Amino acid sequence: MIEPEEAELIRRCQARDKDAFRLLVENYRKVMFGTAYLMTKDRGLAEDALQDALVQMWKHLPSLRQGVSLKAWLVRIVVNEVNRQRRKKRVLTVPLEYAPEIVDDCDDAVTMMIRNEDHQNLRQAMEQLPLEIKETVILRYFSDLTVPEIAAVMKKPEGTIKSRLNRALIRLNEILSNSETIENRR
Amino acid sequence: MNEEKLEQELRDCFHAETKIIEPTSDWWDRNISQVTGQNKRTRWFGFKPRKRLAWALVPLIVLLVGGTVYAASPLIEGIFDNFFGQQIEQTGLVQDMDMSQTITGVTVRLERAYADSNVVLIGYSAGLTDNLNIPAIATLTTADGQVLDGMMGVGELHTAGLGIFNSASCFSFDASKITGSPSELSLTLKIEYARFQADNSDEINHKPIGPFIFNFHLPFHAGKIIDINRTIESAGVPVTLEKVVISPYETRAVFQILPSEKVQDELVPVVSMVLPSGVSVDAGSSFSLDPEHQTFFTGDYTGEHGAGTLTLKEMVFRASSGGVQRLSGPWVFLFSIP
Repeated sequence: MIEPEEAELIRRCQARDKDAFRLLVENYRKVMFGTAYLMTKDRGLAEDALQDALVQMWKHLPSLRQGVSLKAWLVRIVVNEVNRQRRKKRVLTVPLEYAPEIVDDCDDAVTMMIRNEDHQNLRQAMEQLPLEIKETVILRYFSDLTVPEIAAVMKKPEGTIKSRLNRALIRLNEILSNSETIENRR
Repeated sequence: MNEEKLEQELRDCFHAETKIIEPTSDWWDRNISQVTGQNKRTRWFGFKPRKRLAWALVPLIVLLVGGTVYAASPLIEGIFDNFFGQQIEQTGLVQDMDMSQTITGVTVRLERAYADSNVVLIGYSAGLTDNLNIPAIATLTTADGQVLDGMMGVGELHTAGLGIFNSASCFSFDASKITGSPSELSLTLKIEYARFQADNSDEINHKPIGPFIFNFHLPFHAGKIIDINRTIESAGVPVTLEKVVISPYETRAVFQILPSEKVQDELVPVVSMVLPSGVSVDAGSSFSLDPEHQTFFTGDYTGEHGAGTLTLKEMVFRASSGGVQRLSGPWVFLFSIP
């Protein structure tokens, strides 16, 4: 449900109040950018997607219907833009002499990700999931969307989403168990 | 691991991973300002080499896509569809142009165009060959020398193979300077590209390429221009509705609101319209250049006939104190669509 304060901000946005738009999306900056980042694993692509998503949000806010979850609506636009970016299949190849610069430019998140051993196994296990299941997991456990909201974002029946989440948890447990077994053997 | 624990692990894992990668405040502010800063200067979305990376790579950049060749036309259609309204593509009013010109290794192809009483839309693609190029200026001139104001530009760069059309751009121009109802327009489109060229310093030179000049004729979808020039006063503020222009691309209402003590900076009128068919539609966006205020309704209402109502419900503006203030009306205008 949309909170009264948000409803007022939305109303002001629909009247093309720029300050209201700034306030409205600010509340969701973390979840929007985080969702894009987790889906792309690339800060630049996530920024590209979020930038285009903001354009779409500003453009389509006047048509936002009452009763729609704002967070789900915003995340849906981000997911659409990530998928659109993916279709571009942007691949850059660069001369080796520029590689250090690029590594520097890549976010510390990559380094941090490697350093953070607590979650490393789980992250590796996530990468083994099919894309659509991985995205469903991100929307559920990071974006914190409900099953009906995820169904709306991914344009799939709720049953499919429930099944994906169930399969994801089973598969992740299997992968983690296998990796533990291998570790123990060593 | 039990299900509950695994779910919590996932939450923790995602939050740890995203904790330190939030966009910077600068990035955020710049983008919000760009998105909301609708004005009549040419705007550019979606065509944005990543800043540091792009600067570093410009001298020797190689753009590749894994064996995929992109045709330019779907790009253009996608942009028309996404940014300029599906009804234009769906009704088949957009004209295929297929004119191309090559200058110093860069080929620009004028692909799609559309004109009505509110806007002229232009879509073109370009084969960006050896360096990363960005579009610099697109100018559109009528046969009688009127330069149409640029309203918005959108673009996509696809890292396709060398020498093919790997970028697509669309521009919208304000057609309100076009008078009468000509069956077609004679237009000249001038496009100038800038090519990044590195020298030995850290600076990147922008060597111009072009201009690419296209002279062409375009069917003109006049729609309905309804002159009204009626003034109504409410809340102590007189508002004049000058005209309503209904074209296939959109409906535009033009108001005159004189600045006063009551109505101050950055005024945004909140407007809705009830059409003869009973359909009610809210204005989707607005543009203000004091004292003229234009509001835009997305959709093709050229099929409407009879009595309509335009209601300016309230004005939202920035007060001298800096906060947002509202002034409720309503200012109600009746008009007739022929």
